[in-house]
Amino acid sequence: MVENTPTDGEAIRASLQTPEAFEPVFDRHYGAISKYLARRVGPDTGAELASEVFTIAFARRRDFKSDAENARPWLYGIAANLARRQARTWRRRNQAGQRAEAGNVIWLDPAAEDRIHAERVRHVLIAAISKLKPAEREPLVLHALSDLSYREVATALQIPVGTVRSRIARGRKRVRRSLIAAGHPELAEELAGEGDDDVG
Amino acid sequence: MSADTRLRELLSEMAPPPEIAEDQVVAARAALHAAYRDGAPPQPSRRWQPSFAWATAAVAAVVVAAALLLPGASPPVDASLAQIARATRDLEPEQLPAGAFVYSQEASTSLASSQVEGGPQLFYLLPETLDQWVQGATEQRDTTVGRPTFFNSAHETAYYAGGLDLEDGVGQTRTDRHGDVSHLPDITKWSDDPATLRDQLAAELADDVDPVLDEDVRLILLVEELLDPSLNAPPLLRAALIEVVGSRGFDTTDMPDGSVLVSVAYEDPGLGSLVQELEFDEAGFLRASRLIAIEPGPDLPVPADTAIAQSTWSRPYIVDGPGVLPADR
Repeated sequence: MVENTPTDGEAIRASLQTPEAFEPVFDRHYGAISKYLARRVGPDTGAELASEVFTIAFARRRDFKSDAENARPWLYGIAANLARRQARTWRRRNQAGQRAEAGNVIWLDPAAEDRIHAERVRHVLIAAISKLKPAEREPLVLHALSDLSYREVATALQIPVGTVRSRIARGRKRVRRSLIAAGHPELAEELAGEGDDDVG
Repeated sequence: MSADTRLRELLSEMAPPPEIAEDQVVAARAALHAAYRDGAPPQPSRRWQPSFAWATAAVAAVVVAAALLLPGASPPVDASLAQIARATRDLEPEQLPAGAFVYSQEASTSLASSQVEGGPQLFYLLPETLDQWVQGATEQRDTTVGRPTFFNSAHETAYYAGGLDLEDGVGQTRTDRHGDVSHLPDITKWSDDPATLRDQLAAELADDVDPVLDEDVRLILLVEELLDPSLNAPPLLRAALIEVVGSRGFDTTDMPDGSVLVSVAYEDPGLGSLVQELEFDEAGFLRASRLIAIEPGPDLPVPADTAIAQSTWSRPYIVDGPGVLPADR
């Protein structure tokens, strides 16, 4: 017998009557959301926030658009907000500068230092992304750290897909400029050219 | 390979997707199941609806901008802050000689938490002293971690028994040197004309929407960033920033030594009732910042009126090089 697994949309709609019907949404997306948040804010805080994403999503499930079947962009949107809130909180509390700086963009795994060509390159790239305006940084980082398409990033951040495309292109251009200014034209060159041929 | 793909690869090298521990999944599922059992009816979004947040910020920006564009409608500036702004505007800007660095010191204390494996979450206030030498994008930062203070003795005992003081680097100084891209904001883009600056700040805030913090608090935090002594903002910019803050109707307190304290109260869903304070000295330098939990919320296990983050800054000094301390400090 073939058991029909409900789509996210079906599961969320059913959960309005039967809370447990929400479970497939957790099963399907927890891993990806958790990894994304761990890469944004570190493993410990990421685990806390990933859990929060799903309790928030459950509490706000009436917000889920009834015509959407895939909850992934919606969940990433909640996760991105939580990551930004966390970075703000760190900055607001003036915690160790290095941590707050990383929290604005991406959590640097100390064990990964050997895997990047040089510590300086690592610092330069992260600093260049950190200096982007949030409006450009968020789509760029969300697209880079998730497997969301431009259209899904647009849904997650609730901005038009054309805006996502232009902000990512602009953000990448600024990053390239910073890399050139910092003496890394070879790295800038790697980020040249077109973005994903992705219309979602 | 597309540029997006290459960027993904680079970031993956730096921050590889981690493995998710099974106990983490179990804990998250348990939290979700608890939410099922709570039986709370589904709620419409309040904090997490970006369209609402963007709209609110946009309206706020338009309102601020509209107020500024009305002829003769410059908002009145708080008298104490206006006096500081006037005095600051009369100061001569300091020139940074070739090869010289700007030195400043920040002494801060912030709420921190750690956990010994299998133990409870421990909360404490961790002091740090940051000595900074900045010359453009070249920086040296020496961070010295002090001994934490605890809210109860059980946490203190567990902290030291678990060796968390070593993890926090208590008693140690870490030196970071960068010579390529500054982590500090670029202050050259900000106008020293208060009206223009007000528009620039409104645009920046509209572009940087945080669904948790209201615009007043975000303005205060932005001003704090721009007045970081390590940036050594010129007097005209300091004066303009202080005028903008002074025109927002915030509470101010005149301090006995001539400095002025600005306070903004706000509510945070998790942190409770908070007050963010900034203190400006009589020459328009940022002297202190404090975030005080007046009535701590559920995410903040600290006593009422605890300063969960506070910093005091020295004035900026011009010194010959990194690591050199000012003679008259």
